[in-house]
Amino acid sequence: MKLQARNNIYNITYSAIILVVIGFFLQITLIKIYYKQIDDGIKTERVIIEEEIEYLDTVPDYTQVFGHQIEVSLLQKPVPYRNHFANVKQYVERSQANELFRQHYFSKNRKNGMGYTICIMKPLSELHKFKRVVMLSISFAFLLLLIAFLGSGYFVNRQLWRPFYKTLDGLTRFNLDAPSTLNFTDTEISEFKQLNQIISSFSQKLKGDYIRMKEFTENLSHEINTMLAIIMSKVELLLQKEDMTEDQIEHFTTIYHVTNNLIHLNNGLLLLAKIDNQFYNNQEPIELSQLVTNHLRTFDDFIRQKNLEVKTELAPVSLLMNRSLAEILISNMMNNAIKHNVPNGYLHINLLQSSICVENSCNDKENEPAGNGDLAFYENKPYASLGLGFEIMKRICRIYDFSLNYTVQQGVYRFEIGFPPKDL
Amino acid sequence: MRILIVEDEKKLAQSILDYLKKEESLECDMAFTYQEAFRRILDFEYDCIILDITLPDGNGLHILSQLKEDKQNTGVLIVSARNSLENKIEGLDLGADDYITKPFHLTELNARLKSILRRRNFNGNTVIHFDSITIRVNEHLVYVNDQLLNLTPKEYSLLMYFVSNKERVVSKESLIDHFWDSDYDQSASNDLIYAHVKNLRHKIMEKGGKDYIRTVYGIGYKLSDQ
Repeated sequence: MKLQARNNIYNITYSAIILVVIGFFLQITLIKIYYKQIDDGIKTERVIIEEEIEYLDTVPDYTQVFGHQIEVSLLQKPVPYRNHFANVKQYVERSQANELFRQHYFSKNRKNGMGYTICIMKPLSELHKFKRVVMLSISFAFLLLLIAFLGSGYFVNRQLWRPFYKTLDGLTRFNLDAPSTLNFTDTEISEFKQLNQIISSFSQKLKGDYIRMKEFTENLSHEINTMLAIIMSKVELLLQKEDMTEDQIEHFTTIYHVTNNLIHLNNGLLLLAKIDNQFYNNQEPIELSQLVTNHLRTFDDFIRQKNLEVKTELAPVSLLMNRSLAEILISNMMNNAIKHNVPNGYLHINLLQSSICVENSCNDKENEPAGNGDLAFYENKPYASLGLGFEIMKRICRIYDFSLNYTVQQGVYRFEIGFPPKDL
Repeated sequence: MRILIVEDEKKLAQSILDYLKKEESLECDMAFTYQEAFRRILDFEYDCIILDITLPDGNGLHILSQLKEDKQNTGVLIVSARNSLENKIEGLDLGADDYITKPFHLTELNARLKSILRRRNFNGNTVIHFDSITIRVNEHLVYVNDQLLNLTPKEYSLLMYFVSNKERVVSKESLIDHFWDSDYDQSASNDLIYAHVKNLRHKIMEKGGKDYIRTVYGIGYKLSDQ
């Protein structure tokens, strides 16, 4: 989730809570004021009625005067004093429904000892309308505030976080292989300043380590290969000697074989290290069909040895790759398909714009699926490869975003590498 | 013929020298540094230089450029610990005759050296004699007792490898690396080498040649007329 989006969610949530609380109190207060106004009107009516009863001793039809129901009763006996307001529901014939009224019940004794009661019923039909208006205005205010919040939040954020996004952009474009270093624009915000400083020193250290690592790998390879070359040459010279005992020959033969294996192993590890160190950066368009044809020729001996039926469908596919890596990838793929094939089996190579698929017959028993897949297929290789071939292929595929799939099923082994769609 | 071995690793240089000095036709000098190598090529025109390009005091490729500048007719076999295509291309572009990566088999180095010397000194118009075998290198033709042998390219290449390393033990590994130069199916490669050698032996003996290719138990083969 983006920083901006996350910020908006927090903003909306908090302002919504605050506005709902404010709206709630606002509504209560406004309704109270509304009741007070109604009650004040009723009280004024009551005072007029009281005065008329005290001084004129008449009880006119107030319902007609004030336009709502007023019941006044003059009693011949004293009554207890009452003065209260209440909301009541009453059936109204005109609308044939119960409607809400504000009722004021008032009783008092006159100077002559006689009592009277006044009951004023003022309809509250306006209350609903009032409540709705209040709700609407609060909602409207809420909406306006929200827009204001988000708008200001957006601009403030953009301004405030600008140095951060610039740093992020710089980091995205940071390339260990490029000679340039990370440069950040100046900012006045001390946190960002600190961040940039830390990243700068971090990237410089990383770059230094990376270059040293590359040099180290290169030097190590040189050293190991030189030493292996010495061992190899000395053993080879010894093997040329005529006067060795059988025992000696056997010992030297073993040393020779092991050294030879060590050389292959070292070359494999070296290749892995070089791929990891982005040694193979140069790219050029590679004609894959050409590469496959060339390798079929190289493997010709092995194909004929097992008497394999080879079928190819090669579309003209050109990929931007490093030549060495492309060669290694295709060679490993075909080597596997031939190595794990059965006598008189087949080898089908299908090269499309989107993928290359190698399918071959294989010995099921040899390739029984083992738990975690991956290297299982490659582990029963002879000593020299040690499953490095597959690891190398995986790394190469990772560099170019190729997908890599294989299945072993009922004597059919299928290895497929998918190419990413080309950018137009 | 005179060869210069430029190699900073003295022990390896000594091995190469030990291997080559058994060849009667070759005289070898050694140089362990760039400076020394440079002095030697100015002093003497060698037939071939075995040149390690990673020297402690300079880039071996400069020596190559110097040779070309002097227009010396010297063959150059580059030796490098860096197994990279870029290095190879750069070396061959500068006029090297061949390129070999460390570690290598001495038999392979020897075979390549011989091939360079043949090309340089006789423009490839060499005829090699080995007992009853005659090889016309330029035409890739092989005769046994003056009868033409019908060899496949692999068998021809195998015979050349043996002849270059005659009277020496040639290991199966070096033959595998010679033909396929990487770690393909090891047991299949062994079988293939065995089959090719068997066919070659058979073809030579068919034309009345001796069984020159002896099996050296556990190691490989040896071409010998004794």
